Amino acid sequence: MMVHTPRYPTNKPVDFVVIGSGAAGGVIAKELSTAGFHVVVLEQGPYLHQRDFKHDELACIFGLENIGGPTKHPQTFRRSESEKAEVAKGIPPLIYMHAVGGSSVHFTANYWRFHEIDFVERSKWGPIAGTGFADWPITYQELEPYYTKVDWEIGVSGLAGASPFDPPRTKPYPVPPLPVKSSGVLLEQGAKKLGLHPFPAPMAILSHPHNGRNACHHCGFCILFGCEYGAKSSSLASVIPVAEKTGRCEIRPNSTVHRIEVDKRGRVSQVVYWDVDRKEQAQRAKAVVLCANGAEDTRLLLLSTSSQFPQGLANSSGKVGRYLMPNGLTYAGGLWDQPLNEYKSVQVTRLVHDFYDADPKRGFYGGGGIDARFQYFPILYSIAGGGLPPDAPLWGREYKRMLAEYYTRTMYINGHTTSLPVETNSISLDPEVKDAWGRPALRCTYADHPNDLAMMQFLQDRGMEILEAAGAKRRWAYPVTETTLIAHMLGTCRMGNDPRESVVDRFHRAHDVPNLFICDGSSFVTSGRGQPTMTIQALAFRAGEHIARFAKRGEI
Amino acid sequence: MLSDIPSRREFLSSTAVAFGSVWLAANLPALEAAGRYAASMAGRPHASFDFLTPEEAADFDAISALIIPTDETPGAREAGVVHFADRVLAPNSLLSHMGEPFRGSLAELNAGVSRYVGGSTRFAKIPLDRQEAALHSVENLPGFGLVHMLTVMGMFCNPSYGGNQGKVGWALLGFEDTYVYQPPFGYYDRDAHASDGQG
Repeated sequence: MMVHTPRYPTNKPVDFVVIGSGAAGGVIAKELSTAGFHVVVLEQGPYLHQRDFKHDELACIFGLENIGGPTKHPQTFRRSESEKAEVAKGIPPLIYMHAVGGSSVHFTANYWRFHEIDFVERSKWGPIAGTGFADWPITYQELEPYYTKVDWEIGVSGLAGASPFDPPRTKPYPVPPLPVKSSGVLLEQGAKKLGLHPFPAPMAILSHPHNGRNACHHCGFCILFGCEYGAKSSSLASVIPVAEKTGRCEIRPNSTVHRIEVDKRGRVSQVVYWDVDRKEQAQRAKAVVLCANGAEDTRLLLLSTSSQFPQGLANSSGKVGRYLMPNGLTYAGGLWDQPLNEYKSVQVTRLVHDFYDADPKRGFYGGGGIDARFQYFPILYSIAGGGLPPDAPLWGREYKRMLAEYYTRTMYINGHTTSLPVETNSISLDPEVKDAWGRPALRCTYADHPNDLAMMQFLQDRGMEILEAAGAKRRWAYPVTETTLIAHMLGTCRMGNDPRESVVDRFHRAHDVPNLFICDGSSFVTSGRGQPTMTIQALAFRAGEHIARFAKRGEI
Repeated sequence: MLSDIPSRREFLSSTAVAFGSVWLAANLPALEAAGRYAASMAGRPHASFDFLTPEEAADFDAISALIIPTDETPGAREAGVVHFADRVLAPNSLLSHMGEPFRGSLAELNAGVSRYVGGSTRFAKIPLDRQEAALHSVENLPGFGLVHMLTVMGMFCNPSYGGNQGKVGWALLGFEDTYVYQPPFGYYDRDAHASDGQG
């Protein structure tokens, strides 16, 4: 169906410019345009469509085709502020998709809601020295209606009531869980033997048609790939078409924003970007919603200095870019006699949330979830550090024999864990390295908190127990190591009631700038247990509703 | 005295020199075969290689055939990994940013085997029955990582890139490329779908 989408002139202020079209930006654009506002969405990546997505591992994973390419977007990484950050070779430390729909296009689509405890954990647990551990300024109860909107408008497959640990919900899932895979059956068997409570994984991938979209065809190319069937519930497949259908939302791809400008009153007045021809443009706006992820948000705010905002826009607290929380990830592998064929269908079908809550008896803070999954395509499986056990040979007849035996007979138990908010873990501007547009490269400074590593080890050990209980013929654990690859850029513009300690208020309005809102993973106060996108989108539905209300009342 | 014991590398180098002539004699036929292969690569019109020199192509052919050897089933050679690498590493190709690092990696491995045999050589010139030992001597060098990666990419990529010819890599793994599947997916979920309705 052809939809007439507007082309707004840059010199006339639109109601809203939304920067970034991903998990949050797509939802905000849909909420504001359906509420009657004129919206321009600026997206640095191209506008890809279902027909553009291909099962091409070399291009999508190793050619870095979807994540901006290695030469145009260099990034630097260091473990502490005393080190000089080095340019990352190969896969960059901060992974996010450059395209309309953002990382929701290439994510794995695990859609756990946060639990009630996630929002009030600092009060329940107490302070943790050397961290910014804090309660959220909102509760699960306030967010619940928006989680339900995500289930139904974005499209989540799952089974309500299947987990005894699930927080309360007001509506069931719109479509049932995806069919269980062998890894799900085995996780279920092993976990039940240990007295745990496995349940069907909620996934933002449709098991049945919903909202006019296709069901999953089980091709297996979810993580790091776009879905050619539109069954994965990306912003691209779900909310962006709704926004465009209003006739009030213009998605403007290939638009690389590098500065947000303010007027004499300190209010945002226009957004400056390079268009597809690298020509500088400035879109005037009455208000701006920044949804470009925790890394790009940070760079843009820090680059938008002015006499009124010498530390960067919205950064009087100095907290922009701070408290980066990536979530921990562990791998325990198991081999079976018969083929599991885990490369088929979605990556995850069963979960365990028995270790979600922190437990003082463990001797450290932390919590997490366990799933059974397999996220190895043929090349990724066979490279050094890929899917074979760590002690497998890397070449020769035995290497070849193991590839043939293990590829279809292996599954992994993954642990997904908390990251504590530590102020020195951050995104900042690299002082030397520049990207292809001349902007400072993103610099990531990150070292796991000792409690984060302890929690990873704890879940790794539980994963090994489950594999044993499930009858694996052989088991192996990849050693728990420090996090150097980050797909969850959480916490860098944290939400809070105190303008000295946070960047945005409980409605995502920047404390320092009344017509600037920031909403995405950067708003998180704590990390959750490893699957943030469901919560990013619930926040975005809530923010969109409140921002529309403020605008209608003339309160922006 | 500990200091009297030669290091592993010195030990390997000295024995390599001592036995070098013996190897040569024993492996002349194999060496000639390898030499013919290298010559056939070198004899191709220059235009047939976009990136690799004929010598680099011969070295990579020898190493990749050790990484995924041809035995009862096809290996890296049958998959066409050398031509795959030449194609994807060429300027303005998908992996052109890896081109010079790959070249450097091959040079590093050649320098390593030269130390190993105690004289200047290249991988393709090592007698066939000594190539496994030669690769062991360099397998912990950083350069081995990229050479290994290009081998694996050429073995398991989409055949449209010139590797995985005849889908021999996918056949090795048991990976089907139909991309539309229905449950049951594997042995252990064969009884689990009765209650799924249509799945």
